[in-house]
Amino acid sequence: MKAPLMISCKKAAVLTEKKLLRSVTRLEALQLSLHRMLCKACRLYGVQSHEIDALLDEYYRDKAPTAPNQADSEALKQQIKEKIKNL
Amino acid sequence: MPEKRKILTQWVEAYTDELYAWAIRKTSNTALSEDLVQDTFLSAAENWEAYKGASKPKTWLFGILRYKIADYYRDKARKAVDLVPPDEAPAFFDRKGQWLEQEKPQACGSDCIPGLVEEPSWPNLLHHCLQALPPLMAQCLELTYLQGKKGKEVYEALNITAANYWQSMSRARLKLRHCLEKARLAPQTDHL
Repeated sequence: MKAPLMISCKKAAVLTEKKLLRSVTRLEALQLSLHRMLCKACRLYGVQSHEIDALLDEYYRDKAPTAPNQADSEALKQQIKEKIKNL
Repeated sequence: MPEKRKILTQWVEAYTDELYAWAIRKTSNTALSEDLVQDTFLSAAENWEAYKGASKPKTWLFGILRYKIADYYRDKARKAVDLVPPDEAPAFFDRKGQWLEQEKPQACGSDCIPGLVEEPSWPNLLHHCLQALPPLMAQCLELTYLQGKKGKEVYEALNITAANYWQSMSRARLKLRHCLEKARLAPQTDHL
């Protein structure tokens, strides 16, 4: 199957996303860089995506819950056991 | 049947830690994980007859939990779709996939995103813009950033196709950019 090398700006925006998450295929990487060579708006969008990415990295840092602590887990066990008793 | 309760109680003691930790890894949400683990055991009690001892209890319980997680996200995604009629979603591109003039990325000075971090209020602004995203997009974005940006794991957890995921991510970022830029141009409260 021959995929077109020329893509739309809309498609370039999706590929920009894949590139940020390191999920572009070789063909997609080629399509994106070709498109960006010719399209200033999408070059800028690439830069802006990185800027938003950096903001989100900063925003979500330390927000991810880590492994549950033992006390929570024990409390949960007690709660579930109560429910089972009352079934 | 007291036997059933006794065994289930032993399972709660033996497997809750692992089920709970796994649910948190998959959802990045502690309260939700507690509910899902509890539901898992209640389902196990309800479907007791279906468990024939052919698999290990742990395998069976993880199977139920996996199903519960997928179910939760499926439900959420369906609601998300209902909430955004396609014609109401603001467009960024025309029919040919070219940028619409008003959405076209512009070179900018201090009034665009890099300048934003200088303001102490930027997390509030970003929070506001994230809240304004449709639920499925918000979910994609949040899980992606909470889980170390592994796209594949996120769309598998959300039970959506890869294509749907990348499109949602792309739209989410376009919407965020739109919202942040608008907020930058109008630093008063009219964007809120």
